[in-house]
Amino acid sequence: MDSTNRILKFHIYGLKKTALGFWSVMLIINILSYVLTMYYFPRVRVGLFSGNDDTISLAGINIMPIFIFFIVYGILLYHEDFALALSFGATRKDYYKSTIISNILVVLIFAVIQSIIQIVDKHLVASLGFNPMTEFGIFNTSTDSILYIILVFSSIFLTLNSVTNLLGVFQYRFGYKFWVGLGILVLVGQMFFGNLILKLILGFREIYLYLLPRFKSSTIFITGGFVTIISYTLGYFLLRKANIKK
Amino acid sequence: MLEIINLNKSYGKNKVLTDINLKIQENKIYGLLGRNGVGKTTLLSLISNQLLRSSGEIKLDGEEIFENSKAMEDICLVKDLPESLKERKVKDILALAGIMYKNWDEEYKNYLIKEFNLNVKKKLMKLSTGNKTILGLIIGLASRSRITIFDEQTLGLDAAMRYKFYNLLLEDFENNPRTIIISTHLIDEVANLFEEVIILNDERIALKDEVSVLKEKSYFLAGQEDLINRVIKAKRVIYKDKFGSKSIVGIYGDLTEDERNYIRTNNIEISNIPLQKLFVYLTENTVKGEFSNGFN
Repeated sequence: MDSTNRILKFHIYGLKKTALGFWSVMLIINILSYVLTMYYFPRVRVGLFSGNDDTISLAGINIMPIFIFFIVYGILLYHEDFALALSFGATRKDYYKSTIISNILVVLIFAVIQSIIQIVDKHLVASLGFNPMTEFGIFNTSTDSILYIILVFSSIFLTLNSVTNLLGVFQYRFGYKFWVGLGILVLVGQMFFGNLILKLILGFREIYLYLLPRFKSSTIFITGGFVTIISYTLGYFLLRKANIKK
Repeated sequence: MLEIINLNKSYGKNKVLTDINLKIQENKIYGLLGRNGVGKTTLLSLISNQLLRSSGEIKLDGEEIFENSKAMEDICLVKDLPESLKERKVKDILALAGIMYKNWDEEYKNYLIKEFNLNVKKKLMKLSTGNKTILGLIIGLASRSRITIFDEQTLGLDAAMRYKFYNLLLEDFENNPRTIIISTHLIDEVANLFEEVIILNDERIALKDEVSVLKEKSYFLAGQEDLINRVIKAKRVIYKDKFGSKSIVGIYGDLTEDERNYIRTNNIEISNIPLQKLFVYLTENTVKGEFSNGFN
C-alpha cells in the first residue's frame, strides 16, 4: 500500500464513525419530522414550506445540518488529523492529495443519500396528504433523473467542502489570528459599509434570486468547479509550508 | 545512511541550529544530548519533516527527505502527541498509527499494551503523563521504522517502567535491528544503551563520538595540584575543583603511556568520568569561571 492509500485509509477510519453517526441522527430527525407532521400539523411545522404553492419538503431540512457538517469536517481535518498524520510520517503533499480524494468520497456518499431521501420524501409527503415540493430551482425531483440530482448535490457539496477545507487550512496555519483578522475585517467593513454581514447575506440572497431563473446545469457546474479548483489550490499553497503544532 | 548537511533553523530572528552536519549510521543506537532549549526537539522534528528548515539538506540513502513519501515511511519520531487529539481514544490513536506505519507490528503492539498495562479505552486527556509517554513508546516500538526516534520519552515514568522500556528496546533491537535515536536527560540510566553520543550545544554539534571512545578519553584525576598540573598542561580541562591540598581535575583527551606511568608512580587517582557528568562539563560555559572548556 503506498502512502497516499495509507493516508486515505487513515481519513476513512475517522470518517466512517462520524458520517454514520451524522446520518443516523439525521434519519431519526427525518422520521420524527414525518411523525410530527402526520399527527400535529399545522400546530407543529417542520421542513421547508413554499408560500406560493403550499408545497412541503421535510427532507429539505437536511441541507443546513449537512452544511454545518462540512464546516466542522473541514476544520477538524486539519485541527486534529493533519497534525496526527504529520506526526506519523505523512508528507504534506500526500495528506492533501488524500484529503481531496476523501472529500470527494464524502461528497458522493452525502449526495447519494440526500438524493434518495429527497426522492422518497416526495412520495412520503404525498402519502401524508400534502403537496410535495419538487421544484428546488436547480433541480426538480419530478422531472430530473436521480443521477442528475446526485450530480447537482455533489457539485454543491464539493464546492462547499472545498471552501470549508480552505477554512480549515487557514485555521490551522493562523489559528486565533485568522479569526481575529476575520473579526477586524467585519468590523472595518461595518465602519465603511454599515451592516456588512447582513448586506453580504442579503447580497447573496439577491444574487441567488437573480440567478435562480437563469440557472442552467452548466452554470452550476462551471461556477462550482471554478470555486473548487481555486479553494483547493490556495489551500495547498498555504499547507505546504505548514509546521506541526503542539 | 541519514545525512544532515549544513542544516540551519531559526524561529524568526532567534537562531536555534547552525550549520549542523551529521551522519547517522544504520542499526545503531544514538543518544542525543543537550541542555534544555538547545534545539534537540527542533533537530529531531526537522529530521522527521514535522518542521520546515531554514536551510540545509537532510538525506536518507542519498535522497532528500523533504516531502519524500518513500523516505518518510522509514522515519518515526515519538514525541508528545498534539494537544488537539485529547478527545481521541487511545485505541483509535493506535489504530491510526497502525494504518500509517508500513512495518507496523500489530501483535507486538498488543504484547506491549499488556506489558505496560495500558488502558486503551480511555481518552488521551484522561491518561496520566506516564501513560501518555507509554502510548508514545508503544507507537515507537511497534512502528518498526528503520529510523525510530524517541524524544524525551521517559517523562512521568517511574524507574520500574523506565527499565522495562530500556529492556524491551534492547530486546527488540536485537531481534529487529534498526537505527534508534534517543534524546533524554536521564543520561546515566541509558548510557549503556548508546553506541554513539551526539551532544548539541550553543546551536551546534559540540561532539559526536562512540560511547566507548568517550569513556576512554575522559578522566578524573585526583591528587596534589602541582603533580596533576604536569599532566594536564596540554590537555582539555573540562572540570576543576579543589579540596584543601587535593585537586580534582576532569580532562578530555588521550593519555600517553608515559603519562599513565607518571600518574601511577605519583599516586594520582584516576577514574572514568560518568557520561552524565561528562555531558554536564562539556556543555558548561566555563570551568568554575576560569576558562572555556573548548566545546562551546
